[in-house]
Amino acid sequence: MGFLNAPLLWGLAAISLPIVIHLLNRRRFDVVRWAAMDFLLEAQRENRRRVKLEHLLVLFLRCLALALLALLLARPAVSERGLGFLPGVSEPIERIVILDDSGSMAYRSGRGTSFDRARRLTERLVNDLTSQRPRDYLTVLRASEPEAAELRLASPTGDDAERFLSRLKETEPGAGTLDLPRVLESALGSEPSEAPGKAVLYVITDLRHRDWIGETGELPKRIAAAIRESGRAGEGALRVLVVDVGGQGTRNLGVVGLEPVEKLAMAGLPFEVAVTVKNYGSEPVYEVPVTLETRDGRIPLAPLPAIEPGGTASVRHRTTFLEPGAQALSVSVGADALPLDDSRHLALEVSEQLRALLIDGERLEGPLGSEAALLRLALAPPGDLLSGVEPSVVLAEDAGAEELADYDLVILCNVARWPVERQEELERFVRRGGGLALFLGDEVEREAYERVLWREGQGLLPVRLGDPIEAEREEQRPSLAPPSDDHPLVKVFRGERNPFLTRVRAQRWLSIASEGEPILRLTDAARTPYLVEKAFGKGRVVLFNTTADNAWSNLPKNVGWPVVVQELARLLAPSATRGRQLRCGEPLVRPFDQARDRRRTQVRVPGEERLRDLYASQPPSAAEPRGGEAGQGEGGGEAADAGRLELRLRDTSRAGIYELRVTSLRGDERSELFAVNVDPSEGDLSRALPKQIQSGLAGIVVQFTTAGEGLALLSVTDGTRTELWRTLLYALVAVLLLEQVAAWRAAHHRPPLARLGGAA
Amino acid sequence: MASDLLSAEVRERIARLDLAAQTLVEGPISGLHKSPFQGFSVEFAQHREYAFGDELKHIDWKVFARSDRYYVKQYEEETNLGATFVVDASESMAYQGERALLSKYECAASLAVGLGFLLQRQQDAAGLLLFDDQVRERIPPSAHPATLRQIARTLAEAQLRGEHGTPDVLQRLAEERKRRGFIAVISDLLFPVESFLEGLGYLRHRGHEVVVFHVLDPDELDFPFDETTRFEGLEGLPDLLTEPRSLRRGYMEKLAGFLEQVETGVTKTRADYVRVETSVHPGQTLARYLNQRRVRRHRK
Repeated sequence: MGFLNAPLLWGLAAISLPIVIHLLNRRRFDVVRWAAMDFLLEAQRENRRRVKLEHLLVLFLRCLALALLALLLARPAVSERGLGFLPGVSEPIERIVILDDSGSMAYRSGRGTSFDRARRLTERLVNDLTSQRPRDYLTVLRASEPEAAELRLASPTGDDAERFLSRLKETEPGAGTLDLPRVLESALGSEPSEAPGKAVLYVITDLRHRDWIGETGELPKRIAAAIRESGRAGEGALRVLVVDVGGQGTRNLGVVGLEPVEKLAMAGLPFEVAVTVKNYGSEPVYEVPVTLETRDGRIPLAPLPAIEPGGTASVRHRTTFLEPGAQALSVSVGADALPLDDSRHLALEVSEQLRALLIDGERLEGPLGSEAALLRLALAPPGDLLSGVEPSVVLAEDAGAEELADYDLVILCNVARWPVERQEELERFVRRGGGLALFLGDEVEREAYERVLWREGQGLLPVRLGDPIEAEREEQRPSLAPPSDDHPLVKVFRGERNPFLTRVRAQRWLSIASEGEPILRLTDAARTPYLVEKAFGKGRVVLFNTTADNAWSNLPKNVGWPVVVQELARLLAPSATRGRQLRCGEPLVRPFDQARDRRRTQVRVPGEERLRDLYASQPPSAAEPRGGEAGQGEGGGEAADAGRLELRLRDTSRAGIYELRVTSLRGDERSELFAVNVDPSEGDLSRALPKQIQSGLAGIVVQFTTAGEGLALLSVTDGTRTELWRTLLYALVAVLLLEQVAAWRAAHHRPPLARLGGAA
Repeated sequence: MASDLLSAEVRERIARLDLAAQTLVEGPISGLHKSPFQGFSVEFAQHREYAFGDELKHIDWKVFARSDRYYVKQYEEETNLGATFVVDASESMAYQGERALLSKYECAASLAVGLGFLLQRQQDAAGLLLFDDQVRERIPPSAHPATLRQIARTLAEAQLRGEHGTPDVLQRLAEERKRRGFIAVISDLLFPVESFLEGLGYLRHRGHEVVVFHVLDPDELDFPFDETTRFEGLEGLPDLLTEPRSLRRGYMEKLAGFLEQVETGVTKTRADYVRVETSVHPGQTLARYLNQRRVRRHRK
């Protein structure tokens, strides 16, 4: 029992009013000289007791009526099923609302989207708190940005609540995913300054399986851990209510893939993409129209004939970009209940040519004497046919003047050592997606390679270089073992008894112990790895256990060699879509070169008319928990270049093509495109069962409820609070009626008695 | 003249009484038969020695011729004619509520003077007996015009006072008036009525024709007070501070009992009972009474 307007209880003092009026009335009286005093005295003698009782009754009823009125205005309320830990209603409680604003909350079913329902519930909670528990602390967090302050509300009263509600109205679900453990850490981690001891956590969500259970089913454990680690899970201190606002029905088609079939996109050459559409619904769908949109317009693709429930279907499309530069593609299927995953975007950089830097470790005379000469011929054969590769050859001693960043791939041919001071630069080049190929030779200093490039396995070298092995006689020279996998580099050697394989003879090689499966092995007793690759950051390193010329083997003389080299260039070349694809919510980060570009950059966000200004800035400190994946690959080397700047756009909650307009110091503008896509699994509307979640929570008790018409969160957690004013009003009316009757009986009101007598 | 010695207030009251009597007679009563009391003088009753004030025309000259003494002839009508107004001048008669035209005493006086005026018009005698707890003034019945003036003056000059007691005036009157006459008692009867009824019985027993004008204020009949009031007792009764509304019912019951007791008591003695409200003009009251009386007599 409590009072919502407790100060009005002072009104109870009004019960003294009838008594005071009664006493005052006894002091003010008329005087009448009365003749028929006998009757009066007699009547008084006979009725004294009754009159006194009736007077007291009327007085009591009047006092009672005023008391009831005061109580009525103080609005008493009783809790049917109060919070277990609430001794009194007046103790303030901290309330935290986590609003799931992931993409699937935009799912439309019934009246409005899931997010609409969540918003209504939150508004209701704020209003209920304002009127019933104004001393509580309320924090509302959007799950996509739990740190963002714009939706925080310290106390559910006054203008703050008004402002909060209007902000809440403008809030829309993003396109991101729900990372519940992280949100919980953030929500429960910080306590308000005057933290009350007890807290209630409301999680308003559509309870998607992928957000609550996860593919491996580990999410409930992580959720429980997040709650436990907050230190608030103590005895009755935290109560968690999960409110399911998810819509029923799962008719949803989603574009889950828009991938380039080949990673390179060259101007004038065909570029093929594969579109994958998944049917998340429970019914098969037929003749699904797919539309592709490019800079030049919209093209309908061949409709997908049928997709089974839970199945996918793909369509491929080939297009040709005539001009080099930034390009974008979008595909979409017809709109459905969840529009979020109905389209997908791809941004790519169409290049004119691949730029390859060949560093030659040995100066030899003659047209083909150089280590790199054969390579160069293979990369860019003379004649009319364009290979798309533009090789540049420099000697190792001149290589210091070359900017690695100007090239797409670097090939070291029999280079004695890589300078220590450029180790960092080379690693960064590869990590960002550049390709590196290493050919060995007699010049190679193994200790220098081990120190700078192997670095105990941390460096660029895929394997540690061992001792050289020499096969003197022709018959001792091993050939190549048939490759086991489908690696593009060795496509030409595929198959048993492939003549290309058997003709290769290795004369000299290094003993190498490879941990993984190499691309190619020799047929010697040790089955020495001959071609080894390693992924490094976004780039790739390929080591040839031979020379680029004929010194160690006859491989470069092999007919298949040009094919291998061409494939090598394509393998090592950075993908056309590299660094251009982002998930919703992941910040758009791009390195910035202040020696080349102006700091002020403009960005066009999908759905916005005006360009936003974006200024290059220092990267956030490494301590920040969320670096974003675009920058993650460079993590190890960050500390070295502290003065580095980057362009960073935090808000990528909307899916689509983002355009970055960079202006160089000379004033030319160029644009870079970025595609931001929702997590394809966001379209997966399958739902988690409360039982499933609860069983994984390991002891943390969570209450579940489903949002229905008229659900009030406050009554779920605090029990249905019944206000008593109506009852009191009835009581008041009854008491007033009784008072009338009693007063009438006490002749306080003139009874309708006929006048007695009259002249005879 | 003695009237010069009267105070202005008393003179004004007399004038009001005269006026009341005149309007009374010329107003409501003027349409009635000339002599409502006709029927008393039928046969000769006795001779009486002449006294100063007797009219010469009533001297029986035959007796004078035989006995050389002046005797006055008295007829039956004259013996009956001794009308006496027994008027209550106790303190309780002073009450006048808001709705009343007159105080109870003024009303009583108007009735007495009005009746007197009527009697005088038909040469009948009228006397007065003013009482509170005892007899205060007494004017023997006489048909002389001066008597009526004297009655009016006495009524006007009377001071209302007196303890609350049992007046035995009627008994004494019955003993004094041996011969039958007309007696009008005008009072609020707010005293122990038992002895009063007893006296009334006496009078009736002696053959007097008696009418009781029971004068009451409207306030006394319906007790209209709402606010807290201190009722000051008259005639030695204590005060009472009370919420009148709470006592109203009890009071009304007592009053009803009293009125019934009086009315039945009076009618039992075969006297006339007339309840007079001071909110009604006394002339109307009188006219109604005379009318009833005439009708009744006619029936006989």
